[in-house]
Amino acid sequence: MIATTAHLFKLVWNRKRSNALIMLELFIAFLALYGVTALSLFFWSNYNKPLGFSYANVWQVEIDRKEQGDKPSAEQTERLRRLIRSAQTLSEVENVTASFTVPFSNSGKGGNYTINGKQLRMDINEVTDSFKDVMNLQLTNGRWFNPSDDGQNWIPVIINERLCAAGFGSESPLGKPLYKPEPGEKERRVVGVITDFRKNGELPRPSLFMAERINMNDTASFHVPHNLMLKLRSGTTAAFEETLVKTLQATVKDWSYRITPLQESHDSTLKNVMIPFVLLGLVVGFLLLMVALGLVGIVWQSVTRRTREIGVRRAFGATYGDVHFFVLGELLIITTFALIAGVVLLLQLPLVGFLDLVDASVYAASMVLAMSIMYGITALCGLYPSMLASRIQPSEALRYE
Amino acid sequence: MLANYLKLALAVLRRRKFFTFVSLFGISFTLAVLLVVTALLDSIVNGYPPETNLERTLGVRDMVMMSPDGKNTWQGPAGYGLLDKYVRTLPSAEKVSILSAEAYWVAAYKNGSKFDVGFKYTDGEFWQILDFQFLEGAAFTADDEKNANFVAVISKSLRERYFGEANAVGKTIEIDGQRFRVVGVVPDVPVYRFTPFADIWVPISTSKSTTYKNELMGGFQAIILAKNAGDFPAIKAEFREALKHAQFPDPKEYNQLYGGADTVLESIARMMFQAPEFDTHVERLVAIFFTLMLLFMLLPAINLVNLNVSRIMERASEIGVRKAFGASRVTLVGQFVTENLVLTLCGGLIGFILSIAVLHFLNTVQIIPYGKGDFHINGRIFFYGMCIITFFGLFSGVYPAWKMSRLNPVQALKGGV
Repeated sequence: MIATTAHLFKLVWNRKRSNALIMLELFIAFLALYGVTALSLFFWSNYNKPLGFSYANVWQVEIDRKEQGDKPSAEQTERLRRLIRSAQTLSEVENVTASFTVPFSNSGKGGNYTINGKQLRMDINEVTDSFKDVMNLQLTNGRWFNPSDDGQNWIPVIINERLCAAGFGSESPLGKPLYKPEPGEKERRVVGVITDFRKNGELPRPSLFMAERINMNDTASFHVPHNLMLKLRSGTTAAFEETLVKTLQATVKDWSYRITPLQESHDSTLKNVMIPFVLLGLVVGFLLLMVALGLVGIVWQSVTRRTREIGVRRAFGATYGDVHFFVLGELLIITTFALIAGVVLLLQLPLVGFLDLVDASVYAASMVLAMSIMYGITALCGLYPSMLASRIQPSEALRYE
Repeated sequence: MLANYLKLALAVLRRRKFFTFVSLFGISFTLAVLLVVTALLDSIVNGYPPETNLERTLGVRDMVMMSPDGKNTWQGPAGYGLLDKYVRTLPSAEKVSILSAEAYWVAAYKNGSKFDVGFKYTDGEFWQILDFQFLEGAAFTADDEKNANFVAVISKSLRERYFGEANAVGKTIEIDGQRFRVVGVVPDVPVYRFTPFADIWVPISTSKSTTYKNELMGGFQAIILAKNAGDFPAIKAEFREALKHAQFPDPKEYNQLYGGADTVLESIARMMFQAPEFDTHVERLVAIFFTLMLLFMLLPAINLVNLNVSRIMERASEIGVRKAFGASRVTLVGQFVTENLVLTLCGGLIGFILSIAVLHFLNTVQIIPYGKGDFHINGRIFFYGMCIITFFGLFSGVYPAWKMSRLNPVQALKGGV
């Protein structure tokens, strides 16, 4: 068998010029396929991790204050308080919270901080005390914010488990400053840990997260949030939206309100990612189909051309299986060379920071998956021509001219 | 001679139907994808109604405001104050309009159902620069804007939602807690035509607050109509000069402004590359587009080359005979390239039909959450398509042809390569 494999290598080498073009084609096809498998596995592994919050029966009220900046003002705070109070009087509303960013929205606040010597990038939100109940967050350590946090000279923060592990390892973060404050800046002190709050939804990679408490009594340093989040009694219908808008407009008439049930923003976020991804998959699928059909043609042609050669082999006692092995083997060797070149190129990806974007397991698994698919496709392409070849009768082949 | 080539080419294509099918499949699919992408970009970048004056229009869209040390930057749409003070006054501009940077989405409720309405603030000049066909009524004027009259122009589909089939002019529409008197109705504008798009256009002065008037940054864009495109450099230079002398409310916080009067393509390039000092780099954008297009064509082209190369064998004896009878290499290359061009043209034809079908599909289904598209193939895109096909045909035909012409006649006649 080793001798035969060596022989196949020789055959491939002898036709290196035309094989090189086929290898180039398979190489490019492999890279395109890798893009799709990597994205698929990336989304799949993210999708299977918990969101950390629940969006059922939660509505977002986006407030447009028609003014620039987030300048604190006692009047704006007062207006926001009035809005929250008037929303709470409605019987459909269970709970109300104010927050800077909301789930499933593109905009958000982020920051780079050095925690225990490590530079970490995290998503930041600023929320009021009722945020945990509205979003149904899961506390795993410490406590959530409460009114006793008013009047402290530090700002309480909640972090997610991922940030806890990345910044503090196995130590407890409770009561510690999250990072060293700049001069004049208030300390951010960790008071609790939640499982997660993946505001960008199921498909993007989970990120490090930190929530600061909004102290609505401290109008000096207070930024007025852009969003209210309302937890509604189950069974509330879309018809309630109009009532809600009218109530809010009657309370503060200078501001504009836009209501979106989180279920809707969840669905549209998912769609916005999935539609381009499916389109990409379709295009790459068509490209692969084209490559596959082309390969069938090429192998077919080469089998026809080598009828005599195969006939001689058959005359010298090669079995059907040997001929199959011979035709398929040559194709698989060409594929192997193309894949080796592709893998060598893909191995450079970690050098340009690819592993900061996806997990190492996704990176490796998608490479294996793409390789298996390539082998599968080429083997399938060789099957019909090699069957034709194995049917060649020695007598007929040797007469062929 | 050419007729002979064509006859031969068709005969060859008919001979091995599988090869012909695979080649046509690859070519038509590749061209269809490229044409659909081109048509989508074309309908965003080039002028379609109501943007019929686009070739002599510039826009001031995102700006960057920077602190003295350059560390703090604020990027976003320009503010009304800046546009009013420094763009409306540009000497070379024929007309200037200020409008919302993008349509605000406002929820409207009618008969218990909810729908999103694109809401835009504009001025009187907007209706002069853009070429709207009024279905009924007329535009509001600069006086309406000056006097803060609560008037509105609405789109056809908004009229349907609110008033059914009836006429809307003179009636009142309530949106976002404000009541407007409808003065005109225009056809729907596709949502990706981001300058003119909205469902309801109202005067800027009807805003709920007046703080916008002095802002340098936030929420607005301007469109500038020039006498002709020849005035563009003058307008751009005047705007750059004006920005240098801009006055800042707090020069310690921010004291530099960057941005430009741009064509649509320049705006996109400016926002995409985020260059320091916020320069635009159209040439880079075009280079990226062409590179991506070439990369996408690479695989189908190599596939075609491989098919062609492996077909040579089949025709070895034909080539041998022609060589033996004295056909020169140039003749053979010419013949083969012609054959390949015929093949790509056939594929191209199928590709055109495919892309028209795909665009038709995109126009009928709602791919974007709001409104329908009006993508189509026109003369310009047909021309791009022909360029792509010809390039593709030459690109994939030359190597196999060269290889074919190098066959040794004796060996070729014996059937070996």
